[in-house]
Amino acid sequence: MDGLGDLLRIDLSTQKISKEPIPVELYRRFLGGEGINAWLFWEHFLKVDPKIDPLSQDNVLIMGVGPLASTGFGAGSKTKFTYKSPVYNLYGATSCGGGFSSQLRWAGYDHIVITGRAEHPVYIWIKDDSVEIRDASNLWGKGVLETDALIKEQLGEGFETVCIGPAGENLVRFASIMASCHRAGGRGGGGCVFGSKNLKAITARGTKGLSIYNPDGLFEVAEEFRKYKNGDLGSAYNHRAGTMNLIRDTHHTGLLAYRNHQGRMVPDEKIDKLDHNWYNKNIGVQSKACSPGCGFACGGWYHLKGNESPGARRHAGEWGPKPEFGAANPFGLGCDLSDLPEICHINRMCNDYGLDVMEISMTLSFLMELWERGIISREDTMKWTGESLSLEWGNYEAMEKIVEYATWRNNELGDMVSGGLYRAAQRIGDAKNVSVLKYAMYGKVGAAHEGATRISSFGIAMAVAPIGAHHLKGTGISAGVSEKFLGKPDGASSFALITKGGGLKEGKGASKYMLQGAGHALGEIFMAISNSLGVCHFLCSHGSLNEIPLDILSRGVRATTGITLTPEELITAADRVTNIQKAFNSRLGLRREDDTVCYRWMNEPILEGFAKGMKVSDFLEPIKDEYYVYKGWDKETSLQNKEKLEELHLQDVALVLAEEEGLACGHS
Amino acid sequence: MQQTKILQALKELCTGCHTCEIMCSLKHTGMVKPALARISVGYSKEDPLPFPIICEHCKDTPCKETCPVPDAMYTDENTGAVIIDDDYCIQCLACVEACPFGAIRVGPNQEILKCDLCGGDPVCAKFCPEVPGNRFPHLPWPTQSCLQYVEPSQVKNNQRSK
Repeated sequence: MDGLGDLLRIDLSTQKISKEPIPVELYRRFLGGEGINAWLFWEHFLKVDPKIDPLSQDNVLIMGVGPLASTGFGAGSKTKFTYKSPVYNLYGATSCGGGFSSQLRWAGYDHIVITGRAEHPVYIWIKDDSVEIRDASNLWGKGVLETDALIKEQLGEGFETVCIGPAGENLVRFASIMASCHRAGGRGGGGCVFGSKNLKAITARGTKGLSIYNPDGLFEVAEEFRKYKNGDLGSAYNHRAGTMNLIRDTHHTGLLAYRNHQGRMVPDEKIDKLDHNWYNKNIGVQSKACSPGCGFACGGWYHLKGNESPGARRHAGEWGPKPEFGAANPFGLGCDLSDLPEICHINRMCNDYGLDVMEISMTLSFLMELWERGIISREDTMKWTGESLSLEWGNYEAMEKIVEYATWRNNELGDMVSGGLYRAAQRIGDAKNVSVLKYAMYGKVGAAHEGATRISSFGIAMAVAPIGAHHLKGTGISAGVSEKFLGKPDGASSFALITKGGGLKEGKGASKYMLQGAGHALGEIFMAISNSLGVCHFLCSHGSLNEIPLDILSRGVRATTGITLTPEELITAADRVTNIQKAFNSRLGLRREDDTVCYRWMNEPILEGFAKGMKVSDFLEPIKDEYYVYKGWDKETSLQNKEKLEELHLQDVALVLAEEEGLACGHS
Repeated sequence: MQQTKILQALKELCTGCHTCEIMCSLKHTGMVKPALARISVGYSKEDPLPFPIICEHCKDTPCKETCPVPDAMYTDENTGAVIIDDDYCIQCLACVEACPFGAIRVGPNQEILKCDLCGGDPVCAKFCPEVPGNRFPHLPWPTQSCLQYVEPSQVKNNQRSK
């Protein structure tokens, strides 16, 4: 079939490797990428108890590329990983750029399912039709950068690799999967699943290429997409500033992670030293696309000469990737480290060790707040690490040390931190005999750095995301999209902030948040479309484009594969994907009360800035009501209804849920 | 001969997105198969920055001079492209060796891969994404793409890839 690849199944215990074609019907139902991943994951856990320990060899590691990835459509080539999360114990999924997915696709594969556990460290080698499980003892213990370089040295240029660093090997629960050195599949501990399977890396080289159903059609649709993208201000802005633009852009709202989200605004002079303008002027060298076929190029390379800041001196001569907002916000503002070169370096260091920067940085800022409050002191750091360590705000040396400890788990503090923020808070609370969970920033149980949680469109996203707090399982929608699909602009994420929750002071109850829940449900669908088609989420996120180019996506799929999927069919398929993710978590026992965020975001209002006064408890429950209703789920329990699942042709899913009391009882 | 347009690469605007390779292969093979692209993205040893390796379609044609087969290489009058005629090429790789830019590639099955400017509408330049130069963050955006197919008067000096 044109434009589509096979499914590769690899069992590391038995070393059995098999290939099978993926039925076209599966693409029609789940689109590809994250969508087909979700279905393969669901199927796996029909044979395996969903409540297994994620570190057991029965966990599965699934990887997927979408039909529009690696094609020249123009929106990049994302790699999607799915597994049961070792850090959050939920549905786990993460996404990254890098060159691996394209080599995999050009070698003839769209998905890989990895099961079992190897007896000793191995890596998977893929060259077109040949697939081998190879010994990785010479790579084990090496950092990500060295691993990538060694593989290239051994196998030659052209191989692209995803691998783990020492963090994944040491079963740090939030270890990331790193692609092409610096692109991170960071959330949910996919790297820990790699480590638990003794899998160091997967490397691929594809020279077979991808047959295209209608090459002229693909040129046409790529041209159309390119015009559309260039006509959009948000997209061009992403080009220039990357996600780091959010440092300056959200500064005045008071929603940045400053000092572990205590609600104060960041002093202007600190923003001046941390924003994309400082970056571009002083250390930014060249824009960088994260993956083949990307026309956005939101990434970049930095180069430190050594004289740019006090911190730059230590790292003079260093090259590295431009930090994303997800690193610059929590390290720079969360931990109050006002030296961008140091942020760049610690981000690069986390990449090399294979640590999720969001989880580790929010754990650091959490520890720093405990220090500020006098809950932990030098006595404790002495006891836990063997050295008297100060955790004052912005103490870079301590930050770097704790990153090391967490990676190697070589002392008590490192071990506490290696379980992720939530577990660290529990363990420190136990050790100090005082509850400290209220100083940890998380949603469900996943650490998150986005202070924007305290506005409705983000708050709902953080609370209901199937993978633990996350804004990319459904980011807000624009006013135009809300108008088009919901009849009014009120579902837009911008609307949430502009109106501060749509008339909070009038106290009109649930009605004042009308359409924020519906807007999120819609945003979730658009994200599932881009995540399943394998393209960049900038296509479907609120800040980037004024409308969602469903029609262009639909024609792109047609030109590439010959499969006709109307915009409506894309929406239905994406809804199906979100329902599978939900169903898995329902099997684990998650219910409405689990869709929530941490104490501070719920109860402590923003103290300064445009968003002053906002907190999640003001809006979360009514917005959840609306969200569940719009999804077709039961409001009381959040569980799915049989009718809704049948409408999506997921009767078999409904049957499983019914057996395990994971289906809504009543009819709504 | 008339003045022809020129394919130029502004190195510092390369994002490493490989779109040029993808589109080149789509144009020439009908598949997305960068292994058969006639353009490639290269890296130097000194830094991680990517840059496109393009055929310069030189006036002094070292590739053509070296070619042992008469008529196997010629310059297209309309586009100025230096072209390999597959009917005559004996795949001796002499041109590959002779190119000072490493711009003539060899495919997985010894295919000789050389840019032909797509007959005057090179898809690499057409689809190379516009990016703003980081060095001029105050300029409006997007500004320009790395690969450009331009009139000789618009050629910038730094176009040689290596």
